[in-house]
Amino acid sequence: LPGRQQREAWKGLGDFLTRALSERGWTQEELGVRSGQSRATINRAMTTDEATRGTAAQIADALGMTLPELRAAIDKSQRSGAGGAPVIRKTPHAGAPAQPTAPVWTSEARAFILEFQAEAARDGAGDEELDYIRRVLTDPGAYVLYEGGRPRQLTADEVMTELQALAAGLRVWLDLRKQRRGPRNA
Amino acid sequence: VIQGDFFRINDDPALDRIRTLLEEQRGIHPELRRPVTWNGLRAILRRLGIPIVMAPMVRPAALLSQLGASVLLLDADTPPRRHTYFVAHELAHFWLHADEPDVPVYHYDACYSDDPREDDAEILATLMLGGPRFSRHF
Repeated sequence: LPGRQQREAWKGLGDFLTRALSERGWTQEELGVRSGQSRATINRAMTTDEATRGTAAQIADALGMTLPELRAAIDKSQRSGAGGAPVIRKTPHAGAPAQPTAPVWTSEARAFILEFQAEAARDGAGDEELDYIRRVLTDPGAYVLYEGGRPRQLTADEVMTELQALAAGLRVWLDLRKQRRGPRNA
Repeated sequence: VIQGDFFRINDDPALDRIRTLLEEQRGIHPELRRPVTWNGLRAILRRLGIPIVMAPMVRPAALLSQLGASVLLLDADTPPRRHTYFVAHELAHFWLHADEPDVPVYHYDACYSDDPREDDAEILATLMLGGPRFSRHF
């Protein structure tokens, strides 16, 4: 077909992507979504070390790199052996960071969230505000801490500390919203 | 000597956006015409209507910003001498990323390396804290 790109050899691409995915906690499918490619295309690139220039560029973009940087990172990764981590230079707004899945909520944390939402509703919070409260309190990013660049889930005690802090902030945020919109039934 | 590639390469378009934004804000907030201080940040936040809430937290700071209202959370246990830096970082998020729908809350995390928005906030905070003479080196 006119314009169809030929696959090029990308020696070391599979090993590099295996480590990059592992570091980010991504699956091949997730890389596919982020790069606009099918999982099969990602899998083929990883198993054959071949990809079209367009696919490689999309993969590089999803990883926060330019194409030359991807090439350089693969070379560097190969030189440093299997243990070498890919060197990623971030680009602006290259996509959401890798996040582990939602934390394991304790019954105490669940009860806290439900009670806070009920409190906000009683105080007159509207649908948009209740939705924001839910998103803040259940945002997986709130319950992940990066140590040495690697994510870990907060402990149950840490989750409660964070929930209480967020709730304190949300109470003030709700007051601000009330002041700015005026009384609901006025 | 501080070079332009302190965080990123010089020609990153995000840097231009950050420089432009800071120049605009210097026109509005005189506190930014010199290295910003704690009192300067408080004055800016008052002007913007952003309260600071102190509470024990796992991380040093966070920004809640949505639906036109913003609140800055600061860890009550963080040493006060660090508050200026953390507040500058969260204020940078407010100017750069407030109301972005995919992020309900920005959590400061010193080791959080993935999200480029964290880099952007860090650069803007650094420029605010360093003042105009420092900014010229970027």
